Amino acid sequence: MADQAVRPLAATVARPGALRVPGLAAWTAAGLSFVAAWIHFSYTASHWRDWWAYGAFFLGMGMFQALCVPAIVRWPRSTWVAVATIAGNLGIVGMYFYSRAIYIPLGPHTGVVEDVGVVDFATTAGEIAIVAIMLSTTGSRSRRVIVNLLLLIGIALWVLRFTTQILWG
Amino acid sequence: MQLSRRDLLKVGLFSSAALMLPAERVARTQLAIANRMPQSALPEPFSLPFAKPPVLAPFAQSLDTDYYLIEQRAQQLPILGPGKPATTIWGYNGITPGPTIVANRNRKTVVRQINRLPEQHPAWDYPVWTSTHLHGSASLPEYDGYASDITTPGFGKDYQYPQIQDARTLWYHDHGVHHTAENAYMGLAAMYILHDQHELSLPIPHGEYDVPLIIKDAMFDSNGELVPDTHSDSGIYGDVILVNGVPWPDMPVEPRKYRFRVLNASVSRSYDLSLNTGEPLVVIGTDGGLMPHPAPCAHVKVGMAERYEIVIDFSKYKPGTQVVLENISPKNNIDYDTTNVVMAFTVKDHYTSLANNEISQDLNPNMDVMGLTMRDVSLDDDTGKPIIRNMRFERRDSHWTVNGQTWEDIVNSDYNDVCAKVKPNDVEIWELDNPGGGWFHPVHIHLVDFKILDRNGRAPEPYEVGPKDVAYVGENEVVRVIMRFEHRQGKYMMHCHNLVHEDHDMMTQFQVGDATRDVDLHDPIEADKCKEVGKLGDLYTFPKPDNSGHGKGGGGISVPAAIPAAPAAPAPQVRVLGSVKKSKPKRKVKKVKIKAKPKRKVTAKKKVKAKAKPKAGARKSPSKRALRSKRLSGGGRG
Repeated sequence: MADQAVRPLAATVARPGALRVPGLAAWTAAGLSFVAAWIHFSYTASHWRDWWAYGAFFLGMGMFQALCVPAIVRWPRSTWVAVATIAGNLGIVGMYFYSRAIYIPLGPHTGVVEDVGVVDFATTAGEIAIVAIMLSTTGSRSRRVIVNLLLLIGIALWVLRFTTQILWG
Repeated sequence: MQLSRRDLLKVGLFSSAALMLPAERVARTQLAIANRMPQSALPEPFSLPFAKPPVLAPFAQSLDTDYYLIEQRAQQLPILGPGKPATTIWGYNGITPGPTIVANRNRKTVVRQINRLPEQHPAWDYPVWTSTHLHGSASLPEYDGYASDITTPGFGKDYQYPQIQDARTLWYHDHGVHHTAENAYMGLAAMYILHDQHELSLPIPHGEYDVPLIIKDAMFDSNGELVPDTHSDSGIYGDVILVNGVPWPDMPVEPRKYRFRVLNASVSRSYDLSLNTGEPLVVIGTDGGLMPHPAPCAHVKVGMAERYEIVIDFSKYKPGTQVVLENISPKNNIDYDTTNVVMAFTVKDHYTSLANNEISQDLNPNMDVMGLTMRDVSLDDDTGKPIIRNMRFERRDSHWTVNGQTWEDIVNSDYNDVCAKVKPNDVEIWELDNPGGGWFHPVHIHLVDFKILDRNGRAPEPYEVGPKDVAYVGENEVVRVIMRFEHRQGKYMMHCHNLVHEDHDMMTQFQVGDATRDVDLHDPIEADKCKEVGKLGDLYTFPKPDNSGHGKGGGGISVPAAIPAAPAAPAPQVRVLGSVKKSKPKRKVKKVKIKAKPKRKVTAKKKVKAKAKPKAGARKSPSKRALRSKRLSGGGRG
């Protein structure tokens, strides 16, 4: 009986377009995404002055995170929304890591290791929080895959840190 | 929430790597300068008197040669002024900047450099060696301060300088492989002035109105000791601007023209100098001597190792006026509230002489290098086209490289690899290319003077239209220079003069002529190695007195009236620095590791290599990897 009760609910949750009232977690993720988008927008102009592609990258990140806000609120339990939000934010975190721990890979600042500031550090922490929150809304299979992937990346980074000089740190 | 505790731990491990690894670098920097002397404890700008480095008297003089004796040694000096803690420095004859050598064209000099430094840096924990480069001199390769031609403590070397070039401002400084930045930061740098008849005949300021300004930045901890932080091999930046070893000094000047020989002796900081009054700085000379014509400039950007001779006319100001030499910091320096001013000049109400108080419109119109044009460029034997080489200075795989090579690659090739093989007396154009946007590279080409043709296709700055040996290669900039490879044959270095970049490992070499190492009479390492101090022999053998009545020394050989019994007694240091402090308070040496960066795991093989004590003048100097291993193997002392 219990199984029968759960299955229809799971099917409902996974169905695109299913309306759900967003809970605290979804509101938190949406709020964090909004703040991150706003920060990226506010730094777009200064990066554009360095190189148009830097500015475009910041603009793109901001737009993505801004679009996540209504998507999370509108479809708080959609796996697709969750996976897209997780993938996008992990990409942003990856670029943050690469530019601070290795160097900027493209453009006129190729090779420059960016400094870590309070704003970018806090923004990245917020993006990781978004990832964690959205993980909780994915299906157990997706969640398991993503969490194990993150574990492997984390282990790899720490191993690299202590065995090579690839990371500037 | 459906995340289990296990999931949270997994995400937490990822988060820790993503957030903590990038932040680690910043944390290390903050730790390194945590003990920095607060601004409130630093001397007030313009509160300390200006001082000139003393001129070094020759140890002996023969008909055509002056002999000098210099010891490199540690000393404690009251750099921050009276009442402040003393600072341990390494100086030529125990002072920093070291004593100025004044030489004349066509009169040779021999400088005996003796390394009396400790075997190991007491605080920064690296094995000490030096190599002395006379920057701006067309010296033979074995006397050019080749980085791997090292002199360890207890050893010495007689450097011979030809003085065959035009009058110019040179400087001698350390060039020891992989530790130039630390050694120079500790104080191993000094000016060397070369005069010639033409320059002395010009009515430009001479004598006491010809003043060295050796500018350097430093950071001090609360005990007065120098703080080393390389910002992850990017550069060393201080919050105190020293001029001739004095923080932000005030110089009383007469109401007339002065000629200042500005040398940027900083490890990594560039300056953009201007006067707070808006009056121009009239540039009359560059690295390689006088410019063809003077250039009045609102500001002058001075990269590391660049020299500019600048005339300032103080007759325009009322007595008592304080004129401030300001620094509009070029980008990609690390600035502090205190780095925007350099020094001040206070105008006196009288002058003692108005002789040589002019700026000639024709200063050095016949200088060969300034006449070089595209038509002079030698043609490539194979293609028949003018020889133009591209030298790319970039960061690659956590190393500073020149055309993708590091100095360690040169070492590993047994010093055979070269970035260019040039025919003697050929004229070539080199494109100095900095594709990076996050840093600038003052590029120094040894042996030659060059003329800057253009910057990214634009004309050079007005103040650099003179003979140069360092080119400020700015962010995303290509600077084209033209030069003739004359005077000497052999291997010479080219490198970034951000000394941290140079050490890690933005340095290469080129060869004039085609001698291979086994037949090269002027091999920079083998031709004239350093020797133990006891085996150096006499620097100069004074002739026995005779009764021929030829006067002192006999045979035209003269001996200075005052031969220093021991090189550079401490007295001038105190006088130069304007302090009355003479006692040396004993202090516990604080161990600060210059690079806390943990390195890759050390293999047993590397450890063995690291433990090997570097032999002075060894054919193969220790590789950078070995040095890192050395630091690791002694890591407990850091």
